[in-house]
Amino acid sequence: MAILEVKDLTKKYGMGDGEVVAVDHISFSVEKGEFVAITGASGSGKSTLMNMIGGIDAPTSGEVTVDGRCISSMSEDELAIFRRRNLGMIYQFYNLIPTLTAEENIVLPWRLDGRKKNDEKVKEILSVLGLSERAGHLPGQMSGGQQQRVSIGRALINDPAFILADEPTGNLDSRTSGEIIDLLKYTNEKLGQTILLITHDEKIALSADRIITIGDGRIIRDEVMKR
Amino acid sequence: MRLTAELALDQIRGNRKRSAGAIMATALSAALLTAVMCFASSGYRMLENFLGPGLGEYAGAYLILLVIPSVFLGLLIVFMSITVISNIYESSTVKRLGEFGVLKCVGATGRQIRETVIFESLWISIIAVPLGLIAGTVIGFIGVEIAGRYIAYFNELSKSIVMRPVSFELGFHVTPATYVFSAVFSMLVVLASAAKPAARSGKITAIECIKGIHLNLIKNVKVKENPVIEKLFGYEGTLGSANISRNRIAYRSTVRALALSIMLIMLAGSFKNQAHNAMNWMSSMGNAMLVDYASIMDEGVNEQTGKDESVIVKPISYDTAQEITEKLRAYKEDLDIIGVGSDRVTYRSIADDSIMSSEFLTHSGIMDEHGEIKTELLTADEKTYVMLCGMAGVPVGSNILINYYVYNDNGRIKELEPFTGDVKEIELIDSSNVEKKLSIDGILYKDQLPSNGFESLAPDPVRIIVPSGNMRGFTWYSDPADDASFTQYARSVMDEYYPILTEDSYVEQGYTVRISRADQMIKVMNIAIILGEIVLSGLIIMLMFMGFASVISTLSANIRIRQREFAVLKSVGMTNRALEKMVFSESAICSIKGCLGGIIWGIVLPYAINLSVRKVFPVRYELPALSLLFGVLTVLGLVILITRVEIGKMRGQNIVEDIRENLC
Repeated sequence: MAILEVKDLTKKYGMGDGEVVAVDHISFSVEKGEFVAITGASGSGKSTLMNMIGGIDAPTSGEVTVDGRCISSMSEDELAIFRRRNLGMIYQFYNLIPTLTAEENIVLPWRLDGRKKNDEKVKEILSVLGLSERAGHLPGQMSGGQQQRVSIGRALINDPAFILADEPTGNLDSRTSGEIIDLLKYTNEKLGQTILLITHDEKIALSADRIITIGDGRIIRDEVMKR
Repeated sequence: MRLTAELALDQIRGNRKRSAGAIMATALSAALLTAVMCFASSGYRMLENFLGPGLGEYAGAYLILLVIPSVFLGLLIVFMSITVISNIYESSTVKRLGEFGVLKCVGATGRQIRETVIFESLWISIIAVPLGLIAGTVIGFIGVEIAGRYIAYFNELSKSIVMRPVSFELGFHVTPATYVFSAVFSMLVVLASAAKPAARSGKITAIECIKGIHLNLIKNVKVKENPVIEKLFGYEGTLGSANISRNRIAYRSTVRALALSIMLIMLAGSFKNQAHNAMNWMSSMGNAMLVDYASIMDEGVNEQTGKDESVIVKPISYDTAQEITEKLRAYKEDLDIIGVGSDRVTYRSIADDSIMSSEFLTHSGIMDEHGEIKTELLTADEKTYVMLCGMAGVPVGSNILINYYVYNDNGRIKELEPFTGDVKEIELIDSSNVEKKLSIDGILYKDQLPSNGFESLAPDPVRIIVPSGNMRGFTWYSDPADDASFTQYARSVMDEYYPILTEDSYVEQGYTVRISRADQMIKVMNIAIILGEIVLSGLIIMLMFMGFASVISTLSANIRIRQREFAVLKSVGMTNRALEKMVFSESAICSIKGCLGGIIWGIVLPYAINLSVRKVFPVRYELPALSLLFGVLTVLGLVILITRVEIGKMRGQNIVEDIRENLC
């Protein structure tokens, strides 16, 4: 069953002679439990694609369907509610709220949804992420790797349909990058979490089960890795 | 041009909104300082015209009168200006952290970073200070014109009362020194405002800038969920509360500006209340028509005793006073005239425990260092005196003690009976230490005194009505139907005895004659209070505008600076409505904090001022409830308006662009 379906998705910037097509009629689907890497050179349209899949940027044309629901026609607030319930986003620069502790950042989507705190689940996630000792620390008091783990925790808290990770290792050293990818693989394999990883690093892309390569806004390769 | 100066100039050009705010605040500060200087130089010219070059014999005293309010107002303006302008530079340095990081990475020293901030303030001053000098001249001109009109009114009023021209004339006057002083002072204010943010910027290390120093400014304090905030704003309120608790430095400027605005509104309200209460007290003596004669006094020190001595230069005799009374009564048959003479300077009473009430003896400040008590001898026209003797139950020719004393007890009017009921004799003493025993034949109490002539705003504790005697002054009280006609008549009567021979000074003649309704005389006395109220209120309103400008700049900067954070919140599922709730909750918490601080200072400061005021006027501090309400509502309205406007601007923003923005 496809958890994500992208149909004929296009994103254009500017008009007339200055028009730039960042994403050009892309279509693909992702099955539940898959670990998909979207790779390509800088400026190939990876992040634009991710932002449209995540519902934080509107496509010029085409459709994105997540878990059977078309998000392209949703209003901004509907999208916000959809994101916090169905998607987990991980960014290159962590994007944590600087005034909230690790634990508070992790439970943010949950609390925004008006749900009560589930201490056991938070503890479990903190433990999986190796952050139990850092639960009360502010982002400014943690290393880059720890901050990225917090953002993974924030992405996992609502058991989303899939996690969108945009260059999650782009700001980290190779050892920490490896730890983050291992963590994502762990959630994929042990928790059955669907993951869509965007990276320009081919080595990291190789960790995925499937690699979609994008160039000039189009899919130029879609290959399933054999283990 | 130095690189740091160029960078600062680029900064000003690149951030036009913020630069415009800094220019406005600096110009307003310079304008207020210039306006105060215009007042001071115009005031000095007025005194010089009146007293002669160098302000004559009492130059020091007059200069103090001019310098003290100018320094007080100047300091108030400097304090407010530094608070407001430093807020702007603080938010500017927070915004420029990335730039400082890059500069540090390429080898800029802390001193060079400091220089860019200082140069920014100097560039701003070059534009703002001249603007401020021009605006200040206009404000000063308008202010001096308004004050000048009041003084002209005072002159007219005084002239109608004393029948002599009064040559106080306040005209707008400035000198090059006015502008040099204002400009230098304004520059110093700007430099002082930029100094702290500059010093802080210079200390930032490259790595801190790259990581984002705002993270280091955030303190990890434990935030408990507040049920009231949770109830009002939901989880978004808790988020807002955490933001404010952990990032106090970012909100400190806003809270401080809010507090200052409320404090100034309350300060203006308190000044108004206290001035009005003082004027009401002065008007509480009724509004009789007064014909008043007063001799000047030759004041000095008795060489033998070392006591203060006042010699009445032209006392009025009882016979003369009686003649004038009869002539004034001849104006109309049924016109009731009470004439009362007074001498408060010749004698004092020697304190005597056996005849004084315990309440009176325990009252502090009654006796001077010689153990003597201020004493007023009174005479009354014959008809009134006979009536008073009748009231006291004593024969004509008796001395009557007024056993009633009203005084200002630290802001409250208190009354007491100074003597026990069986006073038979009071011992008087003059400045030469010559003692005189005065028999007391009868006593009058408060309720037995006529409404006119025996009440005073600040009476002496011992008052004795004697049958006759030379007095320093004599006042005739009446209530004629036609004031103008009576004034003309009374003037003709007084001219027979005490003609006005010179228009220049009553000092040469040795006496003054005033004919007027009491309220007109009160108005002359009130003119200084009214003027002070106008000038102070005007300046406070200007300072309030500075406070509001600061609230607007810091609050909107705080919201704008967090665009990326808001975009992140949206990306993890915060709706626009939830975001608005969070920002509103932050604004509400800031407002509450600002209100609390402002209300506390808005009570403490005027209360402290009242501690001095109440020594002179029976005026206690009163909470200016209306000003408080107005202040709170104005500040809340302003905060809601700014928050709404900034949220409205955020609506059209693209999350993707905001998330990518400001990455270090």
